[in-house]
Amino acid sequence: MMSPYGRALQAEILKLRNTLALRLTLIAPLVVVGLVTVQWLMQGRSPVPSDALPARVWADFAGAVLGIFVILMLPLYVTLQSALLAQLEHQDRQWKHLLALPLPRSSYFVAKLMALALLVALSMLVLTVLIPVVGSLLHLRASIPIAGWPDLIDIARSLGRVYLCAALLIVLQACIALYWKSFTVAVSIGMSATVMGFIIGQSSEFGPWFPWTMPIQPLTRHPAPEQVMLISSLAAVLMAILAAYEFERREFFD
Amino acid sequence: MLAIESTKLTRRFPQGGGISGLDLAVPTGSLYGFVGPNGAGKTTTIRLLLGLLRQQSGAVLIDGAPASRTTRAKLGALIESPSVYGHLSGYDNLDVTRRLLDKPRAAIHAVLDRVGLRYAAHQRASDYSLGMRQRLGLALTLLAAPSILILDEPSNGLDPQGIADLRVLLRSFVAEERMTLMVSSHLLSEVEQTATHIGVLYRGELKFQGAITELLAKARPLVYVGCDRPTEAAALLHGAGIDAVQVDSRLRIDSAVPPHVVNRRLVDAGLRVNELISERPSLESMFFGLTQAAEGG
Repeated sequence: MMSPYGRALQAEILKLRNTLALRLTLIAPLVVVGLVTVQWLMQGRSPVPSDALPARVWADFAGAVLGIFVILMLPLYVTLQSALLAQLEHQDRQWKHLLALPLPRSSYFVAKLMALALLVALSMLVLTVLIPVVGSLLHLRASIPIAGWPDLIDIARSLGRVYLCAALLIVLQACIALYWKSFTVAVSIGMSATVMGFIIGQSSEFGPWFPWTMPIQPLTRHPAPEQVMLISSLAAVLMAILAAYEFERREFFD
Repeated sequence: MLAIESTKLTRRFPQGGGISGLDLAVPTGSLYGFVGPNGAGKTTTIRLLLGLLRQQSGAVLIDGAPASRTTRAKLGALIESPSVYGHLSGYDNLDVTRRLLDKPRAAIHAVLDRVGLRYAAHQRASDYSLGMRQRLGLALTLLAAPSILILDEPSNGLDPQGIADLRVLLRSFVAEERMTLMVSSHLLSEVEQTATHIGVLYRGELKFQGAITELLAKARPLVYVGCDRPTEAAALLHGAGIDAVQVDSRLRIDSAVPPHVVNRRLVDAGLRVNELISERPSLESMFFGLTQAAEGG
């Protein structure tokens, strides 16, 4: 017999059917890989020297894709996905139905958080697959000496680090979207924080500890990205426990 | 035996409203009509019964046990509008709740049949009419196979046919499935037709609770008399100690005097009686009687 938490996650996955949230897992990485590919194909000067090794070309291409994805797309993606997932319950006042069922209230919170974490992981997986698939279009430009396949293990390792550094951001945005009923509030906070991240992220003192710029750290020259990964993961777990506790005792008026 | 019981249940809000010292007693197997005007505290009470809100004082018992997550397994609840995922089909909506409750798939077909929605099971819920959504909402509450069903304004927005269908369905839950139903409504005529018991809530306080027959028995029937000389007839009845008020061309008699006695007096005095109506007061008039009494202190 499955635990209430497992059942709530199963239900959460079923709710994703026919949703924009599910489509975004493909659209968001596709937009980034597509944009970088178009940029490499269209820009005046070749983005890599004509005598560069193919492995180096793939590494540069993957680096460019990961850079844009992590700096710009990831915080916006987490913001939008968390808001879309929360709106599934806020929109038609689903809470009153769900919370009247004999499941622990925290199971809904944990399931929602897990669904968001899965969607983020899925988008990163899609990104890893799309880099060689869409990137193979670079063959269209003869001056780019591309051949073979990129180092997918290296890409996956980088994204794994990014994922751990994004753990706190994921929990934070989930809490914001679930706490406030309004879609606008959740999206506004996420977007404002992303924009603030452009400034804060440049500070070597504050950048590594601002949740919206923490995921960038494994891609920068941060002296100890493991430290950021550890702090982000621990803070995410702590925050999730506190939020689940708050969710358990919260009153629902809608 | 009481299916739902509350003792001195209180929850007030800083901005006003809420309920005070509510002693609910919903007998097992009854169809309990919970009536009151908008803002009386019906939804607050239901949210307290379901644990969506916390009481400031008092207690809730479900089948004699303090309300908890365990007792919630006995309850099915539909609060105001049904909570439906519009992007999913009716079937998938039920599947979401079925997974949460860990019920077999067969339960979905059973409740779809019960509410007559099988034909539209694979249609998107956003394409459902209001009546279909209401039936889907009921099906969602039935998935848990509850022994107690709490419905908050279930006929809201339904057309007359939808209301009639709902009435039949609710009656069958009590008669065939031995459920206890607590139905909050501001449609008094609807409650009068379905409920066996009633609780009248006004400004957060219960003004009456008991069998509906008990409430109606408290009211004296009204007698309307149409005759050829109403002014003379009113004076004649006054003389006999019967209070009669002339309303247009008719007399209204609000007393325990049987209609045939009134008729005999008038006919014996040579008046021509052409209309004699004995009218049982409606729940609506009883309700206004109770709430106006509360208004007057």
